[in-house]
Amino acid sequence: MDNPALEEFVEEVEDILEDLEDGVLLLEGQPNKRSLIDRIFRDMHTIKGGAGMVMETELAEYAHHFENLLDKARNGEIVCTPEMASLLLGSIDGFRSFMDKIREGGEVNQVLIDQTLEQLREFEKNAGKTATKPIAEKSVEKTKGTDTSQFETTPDEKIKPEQSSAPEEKKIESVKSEEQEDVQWDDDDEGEEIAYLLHLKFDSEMLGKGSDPILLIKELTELGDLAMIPHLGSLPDLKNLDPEELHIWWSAKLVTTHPAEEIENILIFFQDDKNEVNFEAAESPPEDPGLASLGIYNEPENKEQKQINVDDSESKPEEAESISEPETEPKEGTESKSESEDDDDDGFEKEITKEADSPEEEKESKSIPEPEKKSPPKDTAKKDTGIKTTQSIRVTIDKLDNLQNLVGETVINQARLHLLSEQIMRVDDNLGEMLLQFVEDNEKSVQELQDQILQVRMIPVGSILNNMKRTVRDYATRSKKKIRLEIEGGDTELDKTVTEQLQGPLVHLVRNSMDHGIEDSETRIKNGKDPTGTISLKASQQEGYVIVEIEDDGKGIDSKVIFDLAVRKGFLNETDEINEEDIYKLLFMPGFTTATEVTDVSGRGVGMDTVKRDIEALLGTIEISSELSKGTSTKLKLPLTLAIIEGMMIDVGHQVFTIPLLSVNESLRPVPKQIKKIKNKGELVEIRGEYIPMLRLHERLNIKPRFKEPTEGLVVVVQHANRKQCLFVDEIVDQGPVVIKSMEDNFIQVPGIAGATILGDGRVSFILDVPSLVN
Amino acid sequence: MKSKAKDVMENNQNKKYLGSVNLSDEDLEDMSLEISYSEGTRLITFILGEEKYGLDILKVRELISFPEGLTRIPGMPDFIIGMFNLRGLVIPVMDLRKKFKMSSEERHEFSVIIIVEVDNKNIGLTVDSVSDVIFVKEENIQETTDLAVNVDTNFIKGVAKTKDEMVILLDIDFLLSKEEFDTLLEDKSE
Repeated sequence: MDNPALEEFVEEVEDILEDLEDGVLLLEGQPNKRSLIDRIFRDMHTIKGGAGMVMETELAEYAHHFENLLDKARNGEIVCTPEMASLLLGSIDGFRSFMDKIREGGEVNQVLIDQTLEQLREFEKNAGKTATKPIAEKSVEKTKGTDTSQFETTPDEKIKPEQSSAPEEKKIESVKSEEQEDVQWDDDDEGEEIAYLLHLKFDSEMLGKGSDPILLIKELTELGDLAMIPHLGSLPDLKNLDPEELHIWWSAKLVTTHPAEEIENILIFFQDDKNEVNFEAAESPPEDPGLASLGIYNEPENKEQKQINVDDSESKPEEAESISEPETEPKEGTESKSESEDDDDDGFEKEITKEADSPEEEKESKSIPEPEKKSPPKDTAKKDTGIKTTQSIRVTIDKLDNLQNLVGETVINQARLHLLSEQIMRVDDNLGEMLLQFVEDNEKSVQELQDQILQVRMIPVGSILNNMKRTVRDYATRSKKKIRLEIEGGDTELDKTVTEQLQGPLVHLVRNSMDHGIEDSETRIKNGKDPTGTISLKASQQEGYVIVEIEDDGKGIDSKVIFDLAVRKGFLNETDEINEEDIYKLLFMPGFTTATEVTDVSGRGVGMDTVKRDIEALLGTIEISSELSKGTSTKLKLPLTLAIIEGMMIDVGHQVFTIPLLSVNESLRPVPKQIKKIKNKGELVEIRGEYIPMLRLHERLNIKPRFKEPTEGLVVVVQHANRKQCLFVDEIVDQGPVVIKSMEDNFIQVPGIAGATILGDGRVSFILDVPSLVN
Repeated sequence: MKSKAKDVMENNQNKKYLGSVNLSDEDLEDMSLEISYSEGTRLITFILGEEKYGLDILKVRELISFPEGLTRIPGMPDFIIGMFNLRGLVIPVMDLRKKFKMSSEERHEFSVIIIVEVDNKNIGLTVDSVSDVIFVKEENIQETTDLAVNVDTNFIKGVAKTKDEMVILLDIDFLLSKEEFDTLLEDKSE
């Protein structure tokens, strides 16, 4: 595929398909949500338009059929049933097949395409019979008409957000007119989100009286999204500051579905003569509680902040390309909470100057700054959609890899420069000093550069967790089990490579949970459980790792059955004593779970050893715990990135090796009585009552060591999964971040070595493969 | 005719620096001008022990003097003498004397590592010294099976004769093939 336009199209469509899938899955749960149907329609239309542009006529036609269907749904001729959702999901597979064809050449899966189209015709025929209410109201048609004509008049163009922001406005009208219509969209029932602007200025002696504005703010946050701007203008110098006086006041925007009375009820306690506390409804649409709508960015010199976001999975085309309209006021792109903090800083300054200029005026102005009032509502509407603007560019992962390699080089060179300047120091104090100073200054930038590059590679793990929705949905439909999928922590970020390679194991684990964990509804009811089973995916960050947990509330695994099976398979002796944790580890033994027997008796499927291998390839670990009839939990622990790890450099016979710090528990110099020799089992080190097997690293690596006995050198205790191992080394040399280089790039995978890295002096050091040393 | 021209162009790229230019009458008659080179290879030659060896210059990435620090790879046979850092690439070095089971020689100022690129992998080969770059015509290359040399004939493609000497052609692709590397791991387990 050499055509860059085509390439771009495929990438764009893939993003859209993701959005589409997400939308359809949501729609299945809320079939009457107008905004969802609109979203799906828009997606479908964009595909169609784009396909036309790149001359993929078959694809365009295919999309056209589904667009028609969605148009009917929008007009209320069809209600979205589960069948329709299946149909749409099927179409997504169809689209993917087209994408594969475009990308890799070959043939589109015609069977699939025909099948989905056939289903579509079938569905439309039936829907036509059952549709109770053909739409009549012309007004609705008309507004829709303008809506769609917007699209239709530009068939040659991909639908750009500039356009979609225009229909956005019209939709406000159209939604209104729909209220008289028979089609009831849930959006209306839900109670629409309304934005309120709050002005919170309290009595300066309030704190002394035992009251606290934080309490109020907390209560307000419970109602909805609250964005706050503190005004620090009257804050005195530190030396004049009386900690018991309140000098700050706030402007806030609250987006909530709760009625105004509830806000009133909260504020009422604070409304007295001395406090200025009031609120009013903002006229802008409530989608984004952005700060710009607070009107504080009204000064002409406000710079326009453009956000370049190199993020290839998240950016949806609308966000990526919509560009603020010129006639609106200057505004700042606020994307996330953390960024809005930065923006706050700007806000402070501006407020301060403003207040200094006209303190009187400020007091008089009852609520929020004037520009908001002056600007007509439509203007603010546009403005709000503009706030979402995030400019991003697509970058191929190769380019990032190269960039990262180069930065890695720079980091290594930095260490060498350091050594060099120390050498120069010995010859020429002055020059050495200057050079060293420079090198140290430079180090900060290099470090920053490295962090930034890593940051760029990070993508939210949610992108793959969300893919599971489809997996679960399809399985549930097929198996007649009822399964609910809960996702938590989707915004946890992980290196793109790790995220991608996590997908396979994750699908496997979720399938296992569905297949062998969750029982069917009858059984669940019999056992007094909720007939709908729950699988939850939780991602979180913990001390430089990302933890992904897959939990189900199914029937769990019977450790006794595993034990018996292990004995039968010859992995264990009947007399062996084994603790609970180790029993579950048996599930990862190759050959243990490939048979269906496990499925029959205890309920855990195939190929857990593959899952384990995949996770270990990502330098991660996997643990299973289970409670019979309560459920099973699988915990994946993954490093944030694969390219750079924290390493501990150890010396064995004057050769420096690197151990991933993640695997290191502790290190110590044992006293003679800690070392126990056991026949046929080698040596053990007793550490706080625990006996840990010891490996003489020099023997394993075939190196002549400096010390013959661990009591002269050191032992490093490493851990993999739950297994600990002492490594006898000569000494610990250093500790720090190392860039991992693959051994296979220029050589072969060497057993016992996970990779290589380059040390500060330019030498190569091998990274030990802890899992293989431990086993 | 066009395709023939293309052929020549390709040849041209491979053997840019070749000396001989033959213009046949036929070609000149046929069209404007066509240049053809005689078939052959450019070789880099080096000394190893008593003999002169050659390898295809297109496989050579660069020549470097012996690096300061080589790190031994645990569990590898002795002819893999270690890995070193070549401007950020971690590259293994094979000692050809050891590989060919010759007596090892002290390193001296002419000791050179030839970095070759095979299958996108960069590997260093130690040689006693590099001598020349030569061009050998196809007809002067003799595919051999029985040669009285000190080297395992598996790694030899043939012998090239030049005016006054004989160069042994190394089969570098085989020497550094995946199959050969895989035997390194077997060696270890033995």
